[in-house]
Amino acid sequence: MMQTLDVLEQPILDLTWIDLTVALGLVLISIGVSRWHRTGLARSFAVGALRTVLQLTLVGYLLVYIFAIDRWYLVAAALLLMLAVASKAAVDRQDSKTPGLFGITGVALLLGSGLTLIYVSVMVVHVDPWYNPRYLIPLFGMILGNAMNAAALAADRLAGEMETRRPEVEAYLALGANSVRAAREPVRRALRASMIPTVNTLMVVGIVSLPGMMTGQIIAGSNPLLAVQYQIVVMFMLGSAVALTAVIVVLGYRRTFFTAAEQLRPKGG
Amino acid sequence: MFPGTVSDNLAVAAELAGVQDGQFDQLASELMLLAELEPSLLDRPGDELSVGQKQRVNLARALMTSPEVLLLDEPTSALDPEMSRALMKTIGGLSEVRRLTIIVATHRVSEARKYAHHTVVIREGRVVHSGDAEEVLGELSDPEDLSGPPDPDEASR
Repeated sequence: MMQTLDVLEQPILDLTWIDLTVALGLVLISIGVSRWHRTGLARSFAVGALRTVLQLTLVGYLLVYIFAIDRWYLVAAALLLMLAVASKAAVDRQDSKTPGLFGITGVALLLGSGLTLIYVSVMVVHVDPWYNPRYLIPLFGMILGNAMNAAALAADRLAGEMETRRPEVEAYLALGANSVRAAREPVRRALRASMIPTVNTLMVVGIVSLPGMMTGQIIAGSNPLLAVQYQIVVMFMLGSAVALTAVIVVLGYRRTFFTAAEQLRPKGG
Repeated sequence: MFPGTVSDNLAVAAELAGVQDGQFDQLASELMLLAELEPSLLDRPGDELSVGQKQRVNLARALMTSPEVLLLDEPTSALDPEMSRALMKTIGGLSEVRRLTIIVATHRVSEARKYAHHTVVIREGRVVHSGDAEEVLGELSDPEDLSGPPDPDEASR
């Protein structure tokens, strides 16, 4: 079926630097609105726009370089760097700075995102060669972005639930429950909170919004049906990454609330 | 208290203690009576109970796990004197009926004097007196006295 629809594919329209300069006009609009109502965000918009240009240009050249050199270790290094940055970002969003949370988040993102990436690239997309950066880096970027949010939500919610449900958790322990049983409800709620955004996305994708990757593929000249196929894989992949990452974060983080003797640690201790 | 009814609360303890489903209803009623609560309260939501009733439910819930020792941390601190006396009477009765060892932490000397067999006075984390309740508490009359005579170590300094 795909072959008969080749007419749907078109060459991409190139953007020139002049086009991009014209696009700056859009930034002026956002700055204008911010000034008008004194939101205090005008400066941030300007800095943000500048950072967007610099960061994306840098990434663009980096990708060109990685694609050109085409070595597995360069790809691996890029993926690990992305992983480290994502772990740091997820932990930085937490109010409570628990020592060890960075390690727990790192392991969760490595396993949750890494296993999902392997599954998709090896068994679904059949990426060739196996380290092909043109596939692995964008796929991992999408996985990590979602997994990172899930990790941050899960950790934040677990800390909150363990705080508000402290008397309940203590009552369980007093009645002889182990820490797993005592923290069952906080764990359940943290997992739900971290996975609900992904479930919601699965429900409305294509109706409320067109996903960025699919849009990009279509603009780049792909057959929309091929773009849809890829997007379906991506959605499933995000679900897996989010679920795996959240459960590892929550189970790893749960342990830090209890002592080795299954006592609830004092607040802030 | 856990969310839900009084019965839900006892059920959590029953589950943890491995009480069989068939025995639960009878056991729950028995323990309610033991804690001197009406078994009809079993269907009431926990948050509708008075503070004193909640403490008694907590007692019944703890007994559901068939403990040999009960450790109660200030069980009467939120209760007025009359309710405190009633609860301590119930607790005292439990040690007789169920042959339980009950350890109560309290700031009220009168409670210790009236209900304790053995009393340990702890001051700043250290045991300063230990022994027969009447002996230990004989000279202590008001709460300030709980600190007991000057710490021998401190006095010698």
